Amino acid sequence: MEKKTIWHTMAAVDVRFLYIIIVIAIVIPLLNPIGLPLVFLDEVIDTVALMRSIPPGSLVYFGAECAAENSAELRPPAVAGARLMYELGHRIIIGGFWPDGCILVRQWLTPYFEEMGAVYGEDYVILGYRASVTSILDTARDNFILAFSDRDINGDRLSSMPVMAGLNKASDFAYCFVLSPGGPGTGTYTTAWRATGEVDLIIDVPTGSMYNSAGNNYQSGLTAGLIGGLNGGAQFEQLIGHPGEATRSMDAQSMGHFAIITFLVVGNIGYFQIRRMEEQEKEAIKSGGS
Amino acid sequence: MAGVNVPTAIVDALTPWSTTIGVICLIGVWSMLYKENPFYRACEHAYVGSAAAHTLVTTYANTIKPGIQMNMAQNGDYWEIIPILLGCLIYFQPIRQYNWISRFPMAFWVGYNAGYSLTLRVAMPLFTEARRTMLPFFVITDGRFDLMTSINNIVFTGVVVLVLVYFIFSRNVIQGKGVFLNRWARIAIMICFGAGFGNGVANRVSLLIGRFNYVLSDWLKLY
Repeated sequence: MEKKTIWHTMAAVDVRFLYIIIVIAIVIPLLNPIGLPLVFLDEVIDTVALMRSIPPGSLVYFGAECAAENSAELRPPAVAGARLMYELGHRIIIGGFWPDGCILVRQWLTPYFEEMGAVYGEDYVILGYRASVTSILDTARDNFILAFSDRDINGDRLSSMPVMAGLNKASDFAYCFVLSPGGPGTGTYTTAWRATGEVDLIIDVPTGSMYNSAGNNYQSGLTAGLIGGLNGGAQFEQLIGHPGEATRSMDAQSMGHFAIITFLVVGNIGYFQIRRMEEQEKEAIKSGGS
Repeated sequence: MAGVNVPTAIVDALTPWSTTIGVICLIGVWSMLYKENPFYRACEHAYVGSAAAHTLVTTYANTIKPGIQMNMAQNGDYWEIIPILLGCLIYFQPIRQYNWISRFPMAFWVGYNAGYSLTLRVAMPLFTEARRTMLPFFVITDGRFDLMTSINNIVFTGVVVLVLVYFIFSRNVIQGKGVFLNRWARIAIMICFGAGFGNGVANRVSLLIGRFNYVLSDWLKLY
């Protein structure tokens, strides 16, 4: 009869038990933040410096490329980014090619814009969702207002809004700040506006799963800034002096990762231990038989 | 979305209720982690149905309606009827006798995208990344030899060459002692995949944190 060890018991543990441990590891730090230290990456520091270097009154494009499932990672940098842009006096043009993108970003940013006193149509405008991203971004290279049919998300005329003053084509933007959980995302703007020389500065705000390819783009100089995942969002919040949702969530994320890494390490040790014991048993049977 | 402006008072009054419904659906979906059950199925079907309805309404309100009402009726851009009719042809797909007609919009769309992809600007990111891969092996910073950056560049370039060799000679052209190159290339690729997987896990944990923020902060107002 096979001898049962602690490794066998652990290998047979109900997976729902692991779910409970992960929930506990995440919920406790959310309710009682530990205050684990945050390491600031050069890419985020440089991104903040880049945004601060843009003069007041400049036009910036805010790519609201996101969906509800990305809100945990993209809402904090979106809020912090819009806050910094407004504080720096940038005029914010929010557009998006994900069906829910502009609606979500309006929901995220409106309370903060109201709190800061930003005026819709003067300090910022939301263009609303449009289908056919490539043709619209292409048209926007020559005539931005025509590309968006001269209408904002509410159906009001863009050309009558003070925030649009001086915005004729894509090259009038000082930089693009693009949330990027996939496509359309930073790659779309890179191809449409960066590759054609319309906009040189693109700040990439990817989700964690897009961070690898975003890192390639940043290191190769395709993008000028990078704020990656919840961690990047937390750094960004702290660097601009407004710690918020991402900063509060970082302890929970660290503890969640710690729990997962522990499971991985223990699981692998258990796997190799069980395999070693099985091999030893086979050897014993062989030698006993011969 | 365009044309739909719900008064703020109504939105404010409905928000707590919509949050509660959201939490109930969240619990319903999470109940799948315990075991399959009708509550989960009900939430799943409600999600699929509402997502389809939402996409339909959003597309109509932001694309079709402005196209017909504004571009055609107000601005007189009647030529827009051509892409609309072309798009409608795709609905011939379920009719077996005429489903060949649905190939026209698809052919147009594929041709458009192929033409777009063949332009030089799509290749620009590739050229930029290739150029930035060619790094100096001996880096001098502030007049002094920068050992760490030099090692970093050598490792980086070495890994790029290894992985290229692995894929170019995928039919095991390298024989004998050269096989070790393939092994190192596989290790390099696995490290890259591992980093991607790690980021994927971080992404999933972030999603979970987002849902807990929704329950604990937006619904229960615990922080």
